[in-house]
Amino acid sequence: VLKRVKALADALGARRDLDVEIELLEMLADEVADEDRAALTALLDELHAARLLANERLAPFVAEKRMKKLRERLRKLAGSAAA
Amino acid sequence: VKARKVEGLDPRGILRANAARVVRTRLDELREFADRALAPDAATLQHDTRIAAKRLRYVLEIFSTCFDEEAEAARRAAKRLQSVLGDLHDCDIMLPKVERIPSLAAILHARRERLFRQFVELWQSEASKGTWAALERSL
Repeated sequence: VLKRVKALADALGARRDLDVEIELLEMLADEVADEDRAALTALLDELHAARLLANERLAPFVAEKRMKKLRERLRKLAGSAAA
Repeated sequence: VKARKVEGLDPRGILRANAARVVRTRLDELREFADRALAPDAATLQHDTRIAAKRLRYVLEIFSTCFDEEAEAARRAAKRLQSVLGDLHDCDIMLPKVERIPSLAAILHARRERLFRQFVELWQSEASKGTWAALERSL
């Protein structure tokens, strides 16, 4: 169960990292010099594309069937600890 | 960084005693990393300190019913550290990616310096308030 939870956390973390990067750049965008705006836009485009790819990589980890199985395993684990 | 193994846990023992062992181990980790992370360019140790603060915070949250207000104060302090060091780490991740954007690199460098100063002030402030020592005594 721990291995599965870790795999899910890693997949979500990789996806979240891109959100954080995009959020940071967008927050600082107004302060960037005019001559650097095109480069910033290009970088943001790259990150948005990477995020789409990360969404595809994440999808199998959060698929309904897989999540249901994980919930059942966790419930069973909690039950065995309480017994 | 891999979490340090908690020694002496007893699966059939009293929850509070076990929780205290976990908290003590996580607190020791945080102190050891933070003391070495107080140099401006110690990026890896600052990241390790963030992870250690996160682990301490979550352990204190999970076992909040076992402890008193000293633990709550430590949890809040760990959360503040985690936040400042998280923002600092975001700068470290982003800086190599913006080398070709000079004005953005300069903004990120300035932001990193500001966040580093905040981290040092926060760490020293919590130490002088006795936050970690109080948590340790309460365990």
